[in-house]
Amino acid sequence: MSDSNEDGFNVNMRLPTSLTLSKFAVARGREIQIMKNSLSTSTCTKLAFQKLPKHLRRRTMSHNVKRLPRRLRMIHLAQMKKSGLPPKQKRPSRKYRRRPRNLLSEYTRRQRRINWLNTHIWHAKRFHMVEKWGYKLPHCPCDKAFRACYRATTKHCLMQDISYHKCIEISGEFEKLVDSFKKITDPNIGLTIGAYAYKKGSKEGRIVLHDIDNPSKVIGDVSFLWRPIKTKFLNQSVSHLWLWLHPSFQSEALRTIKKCFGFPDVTSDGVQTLKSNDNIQLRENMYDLNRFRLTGPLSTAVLCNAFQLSEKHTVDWLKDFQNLPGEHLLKMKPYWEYLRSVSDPSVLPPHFVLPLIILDPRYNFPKAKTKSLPLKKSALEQIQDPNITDSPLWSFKIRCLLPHRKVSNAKIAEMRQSLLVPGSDLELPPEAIPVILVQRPGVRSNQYNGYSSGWDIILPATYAQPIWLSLIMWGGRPGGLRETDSIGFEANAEPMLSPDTKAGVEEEVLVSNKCKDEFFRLPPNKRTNYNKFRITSPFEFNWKLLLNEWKSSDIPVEDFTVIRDKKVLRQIQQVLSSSDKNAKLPQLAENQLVPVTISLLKKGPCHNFAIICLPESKDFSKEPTEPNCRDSNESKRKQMRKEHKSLLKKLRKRRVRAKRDNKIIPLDKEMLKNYTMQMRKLWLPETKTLRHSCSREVMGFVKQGGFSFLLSKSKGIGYIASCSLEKLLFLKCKNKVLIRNTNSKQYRLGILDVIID
Amino acid sequence: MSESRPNTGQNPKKQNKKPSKDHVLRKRQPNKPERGDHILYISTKTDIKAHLEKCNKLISNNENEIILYCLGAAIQRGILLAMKICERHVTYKIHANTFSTELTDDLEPATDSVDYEIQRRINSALRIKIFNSIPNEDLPAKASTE
Repeated sequence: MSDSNEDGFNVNMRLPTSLTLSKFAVARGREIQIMKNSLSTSTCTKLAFQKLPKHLRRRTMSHNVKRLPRRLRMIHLAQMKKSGLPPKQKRPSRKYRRRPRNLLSEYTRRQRRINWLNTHIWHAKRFHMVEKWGYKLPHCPCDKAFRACYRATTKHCLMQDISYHKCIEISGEFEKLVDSFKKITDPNIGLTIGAYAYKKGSKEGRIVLHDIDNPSKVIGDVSFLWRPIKTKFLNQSVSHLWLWLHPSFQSEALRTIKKCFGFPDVTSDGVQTLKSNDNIQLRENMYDLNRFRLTGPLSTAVLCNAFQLSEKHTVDWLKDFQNLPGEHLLKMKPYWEYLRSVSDPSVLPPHFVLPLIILDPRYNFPKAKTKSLPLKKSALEQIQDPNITDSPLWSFKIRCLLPHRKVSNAKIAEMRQSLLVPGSDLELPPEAIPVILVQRPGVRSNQYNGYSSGWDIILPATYAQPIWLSLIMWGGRPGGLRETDSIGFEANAEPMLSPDTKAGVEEEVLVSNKCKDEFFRLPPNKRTNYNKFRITSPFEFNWKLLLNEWKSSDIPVEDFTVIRDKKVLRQIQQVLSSSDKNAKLPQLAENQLVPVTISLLKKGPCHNFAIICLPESKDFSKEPTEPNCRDSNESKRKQMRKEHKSLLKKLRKRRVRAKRDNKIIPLDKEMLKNYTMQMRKLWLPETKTLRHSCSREVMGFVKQGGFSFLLSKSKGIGYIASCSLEKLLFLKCKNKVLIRNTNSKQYRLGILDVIID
Repeated sequence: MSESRPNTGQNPKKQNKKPSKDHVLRKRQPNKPERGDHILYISTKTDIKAHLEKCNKLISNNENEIILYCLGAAIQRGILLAMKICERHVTYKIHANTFSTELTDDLEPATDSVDYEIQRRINSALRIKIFNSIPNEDLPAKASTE
């Protein structure tokens, strides 16, 4: 021990006088190798962050990786994984989630299940959204604007995004297309698709599609538009047709159309082009077209302010488009100026189509939300309506090109930022956008002529959001699905989905289920006892049963239809309103419903599901009331409830006893469900009779009832059985009928009018 | 209400053209030349009392000028209304202009083979300006912006 010094080296060790260099070097090399190895593989049991010098350590380092130096993060993660504790990742912060790229991926994820409109984000911030027909659609604005929306339709401008209507394009020889459509439409209803008025593409029309397998079955209303072509080529060249299908019957209608033209029935997601042997082409899933609806007298002014016409061919795709000569754009200018002074869209020709090339509306945004007003007109000159020309919007190639040519919002913001005088107008020649305007004439009867008139805009989907915003900025008030209903109700239009269509039946079932749910959510003492009011079907429209009870023959009614033939409807209306006692009704089939409106003579409300009844001669002097009626089910319900309660008590006791012996008796869910079902049946018994269910005979139901702001009275829109009309005429009371709400015993007199269109 | 009568009850002499069986006659709304709070369009449907109320309200709000537009059958009602206003408010005077307005009727096709047609009619109209002959200087009227 004494040989070694304090460093531990052997002092007395004798060093060799000579050494072989090669041996020595190899030995040292081996030592270095060992040292290197031992350095790279640590034998210590510390974790990565524990090995850090003190000045680099941070609080809760092991919990949050981000607090470690970057070079140690991977090691730390690997160690944490090895130890079996997966490192907990923090939920990404809102700031992170709101980054454009992450937001976009989130949006695409959320659109996987349900379709969105192009203006969805804008709407979702301001509207109550509902899921309907496979879309997430705005129902009503959050600001309780019911009356404001009505006022917009009568005095200002109401805007709706109706892009959920699906557009399909059919192209082929005109005659062949018209011939094929004869198989799925009824020529008696009105103008057909090949009518001379629509052929040139200057008017938009509507047809009623029928099922190809069962021609008596109606699918729904479809609006169509022919592509305008030069008349001299009319017979040779290819005609193009756009059909706008409502999403509720879209798949059904597509199936029928495909079968009618002999296409295979295949569905896919992207744009799909099908070709048949007759050179007929069908293009579906056209997501590149959107449609906005403007209603109200100021809609022309809003459009004129928001859309500035392009006067020259500024972009190359427009120059290449042969069908639109440059001088036409110049010719449009005076007409557009004339439109500025038009007080109401109903002044213009009905269903008139106006293709335009407009400048990007983002370049002429107003500085603040502005109310557009028509210009004061000095002279009452009338300008000839312009010749209808083709629109580049019809060209698939140009529609594909448009998204690539669009200037991004960021670029426009940048340009605005670099303006010399902040807030001045941008001057760069903006990109041109093709749009098509379609006039809607609104109500065309003597009373309230021109209500709900306005414009439909067909536009490329890429520009949906900027155009929507600019229309809003120029004073349009946005509305949702609720407004579609209320406009139809005020305008006395027949409900869009008729009860004889599949989509209409589905809608009725939805509504009645919702009402039933609401009814049974109430406590029993708050529920209306409809048995006491003698209302046999308070939440259902039993059209089939109604027609069966009214028919005179013995053959039961299987299928029913709504009368759509305008001539027949007009005849019925004339017979009903004329004072001629010998007037005769046209021949009506027994399985038909007549669409009617009923406006109440005096005060009182009219709700959905109200019954329309035949009056008796004494009723005209005093509105009758339904006599009191006892509910036969009441005692049954009481008895049942009592028994059920005692049973529940017994079962509970049994369960408690079993639990004491460490046994568990499961609940008898089947029994409970059974009880609820039986109880519900006692509340709302199955409808067995309708016509003679109360003291007056039931003719029909009110489908949509409420207070009409236009009439400043209550009114209802509904259907009545065709056979009941004869009995009404027999009474010689002209068109007076009785109406009774489901929650009242009071009958009220109303005037019945047939809805013609 | 929802009735749209073909032109049966009217005197055919008044029409330029009697619509044939192929057409349905629908009247278009006449264009409104001006718009504003103080501009009233007199109809045969609105009660004359309601119009009068509105005018009284305008006058009590120091409106110096009210313009009434009336067309056809409503001319008589317009004149009556203007007289009533002047009777009540003595400082207000009347200035009337007669003119004629062109009205358009659409002949909508009822069969496939015909096109849309229009027929134009001329109807007499009246523009009545009711103005304050002694404008109130102390209380300037709200700037009537049109």
